[in-house]
Amino acid sequence: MPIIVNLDVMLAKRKMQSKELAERVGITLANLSILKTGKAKAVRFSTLESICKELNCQPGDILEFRMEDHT
Amino acid sequence: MNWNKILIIGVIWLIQITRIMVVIAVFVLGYLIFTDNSTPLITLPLETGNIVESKPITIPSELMDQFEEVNVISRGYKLAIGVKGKLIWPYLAFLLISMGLYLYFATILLRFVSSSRKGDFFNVKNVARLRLIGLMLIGFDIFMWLLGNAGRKYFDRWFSDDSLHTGLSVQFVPYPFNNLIFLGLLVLVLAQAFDHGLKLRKEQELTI
Repeated sequence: MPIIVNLDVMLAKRKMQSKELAERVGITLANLSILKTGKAKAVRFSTLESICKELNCQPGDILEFRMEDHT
Repeated sequence: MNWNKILIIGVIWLIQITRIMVVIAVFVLGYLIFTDNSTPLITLPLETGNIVESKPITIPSELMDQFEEVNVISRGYKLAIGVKGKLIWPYLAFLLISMGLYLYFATILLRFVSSSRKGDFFNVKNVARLRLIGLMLIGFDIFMWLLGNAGRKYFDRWFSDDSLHTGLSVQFVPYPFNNLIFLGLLVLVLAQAFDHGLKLRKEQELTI
């Protein structure tokens, strides 16, 4: 998928653990893991809002569009 | 306990009873054929045109007044052929295969209905089960039609001399659910809807 989730980078920058973020945002650790590994099909605006609030960042810091290389 | 649960439990019980009855029927038939020396019969509808009745049915005059022409015509026979000797083995093989298929059909249906009780209705297995049920219904109807036609063609040689079937008959009560092909197609459409539902569920599950 050309949408890259940079959640682990932001977590490392904020020195926060996945478990802590999951608790703060109010989602399960399994769902956060799905999001981190890029397996998620969609992200709710409410979830994105909570993540941005907790990590003090912009949606663009977490999500990135990268053109797929077809060669 | 709500009505839906009672209905599902009822359906499960009904299918279970059907399965048991099929197994019992196979044993009873086998027992009757081998021990009782009973001759099993194959019945076949045979259309041979207008059959002259020995006892004509009298048409009430009130009915005659309402319509231009009222005739009572018997349009067919039911041929009962006794199976004996070496023919008993293909007959038994056919019987066992058809009973086995019937049992398999009932088992698929049972698993499909049972999955709704477990709360796991939209899954890949159920889509495959529904498709199989639909295809089996269509296949069964086509097979029975072919078998009936082949049998009729084979036996018509001995019965078609008296008169040819020339009339045109129209059935005034078309009952679509009596047609297994129609039902099978409906089940296939349902399977497609299930497939779509499954995709939606997966997407929903992967929405964070």
